[in-house]
Amino acid sequence: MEPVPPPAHAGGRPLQLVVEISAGIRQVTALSRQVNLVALNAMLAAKQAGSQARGFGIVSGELRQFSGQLDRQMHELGDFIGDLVHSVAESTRIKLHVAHLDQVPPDIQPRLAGAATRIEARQARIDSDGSERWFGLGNRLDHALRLCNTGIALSRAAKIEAVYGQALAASLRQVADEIEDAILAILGTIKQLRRALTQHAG
Amino acid sequence: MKKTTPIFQDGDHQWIVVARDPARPDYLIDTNEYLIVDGQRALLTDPGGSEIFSAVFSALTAAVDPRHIETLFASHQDPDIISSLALWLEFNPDLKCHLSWLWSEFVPHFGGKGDTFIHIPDEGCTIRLGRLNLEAVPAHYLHSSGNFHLYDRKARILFSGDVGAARLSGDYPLFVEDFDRHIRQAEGFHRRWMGSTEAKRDWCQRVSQLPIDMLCPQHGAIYQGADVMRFINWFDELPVGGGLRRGVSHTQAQA
Repeated sequence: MEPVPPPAHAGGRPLQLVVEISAGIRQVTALSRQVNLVALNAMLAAKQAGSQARGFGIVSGELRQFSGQLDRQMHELGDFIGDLVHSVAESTRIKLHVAHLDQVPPDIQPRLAGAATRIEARQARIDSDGSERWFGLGNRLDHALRLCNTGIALSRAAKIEAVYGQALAASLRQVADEIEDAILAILGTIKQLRRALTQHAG
Repeated sequence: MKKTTPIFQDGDHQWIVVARDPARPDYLIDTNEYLIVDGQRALLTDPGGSEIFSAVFSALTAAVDPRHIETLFASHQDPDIISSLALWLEFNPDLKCHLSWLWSEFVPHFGGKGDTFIHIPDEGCTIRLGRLNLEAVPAHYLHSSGNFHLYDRKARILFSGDVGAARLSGDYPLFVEDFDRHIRQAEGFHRRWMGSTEAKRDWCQRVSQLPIDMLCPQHGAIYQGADVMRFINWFDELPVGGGLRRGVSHTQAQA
């Protein structure tokens, strides 16, 4: 299923955001696997082409390593998001309890002070845990962005190496373009997630 | 965290089960939620209690985009079925919930407004999801007095709510593997929770006419293939509404 824009309402915004980020991670993982597959084919093609495509073969191998690293990062990010979703969902649940308590007439509220205090303490604990997780998510996305920049550099190196492929130059160039497009799409998605996170924090 | 497992796929028509939470406290009954997907539209059956909302939501988010869920289906009014409604509406206030008309003034105590609910008449109705026509199959008194199951004729799958349920340990397989062994764990539940022999016979008669490849209960394991008919025949024969008879205690009935 393709991601869709969140519904235009403010309620449940943190839930919407984690869903948006999860969808982004799935997209990045799919693109990263595409890079891995294309780079694998490129390595095999370069091997068959012999010495004239040796450089291209080496860069393709590095691109596969990049894809493996990104895949692992996204997997870890997925687990991290799972905990974050849990935290956000719990926070939403507690806020709902608070909203119910707020509806109690003011003259009755002192009788519920104990309950209110316990709920507030729980909310504070969950929100503090949530804040740390949001911060950690930002760090992980920054790390993924740095890795993507390495991927972009590698895909450009592949384009340069393609030129030395002589008879195979055109087809190697096509492969390098395909890899670059996929990595640029990954970079765009992660940047978009980072922006969404910054806006949420703001 | 609960896990999602696709149990049916034909193009972009899918059934995904959300089940088996190893972190679930043992005082909460384990539940199965089913996500029926047609392209970009999805329906979630018996979304569960508020206590397990985060487990269900996390599991769904890891596998699919919950923003595609446009409809909930509540087989009946129990807390383990639909008490998470208010939290789902926090996520998407436009969600609709299909539910027996009988509970139209009861379930809003869990959340939602008048326009959240689409009432199902006693005789059942068709629920449209994208290109799918899902059928709300009457199952009144099994165990709730206003109760529906959901049949997907294209996938040949029946979501059977509490019918077919069994109380199992967390690591139990998703599908029934040994019917005779499994059914012993379902017997006490059905004897006590199902209250009407007449309703049970009527349900068995109607459901046995449907082509069903999988019978998917809200608790326990999924029946598939020949086990579906085996279950219907077993249930047809089972004396129900007598969980208290012959010295069967409350605890034994649950076991």
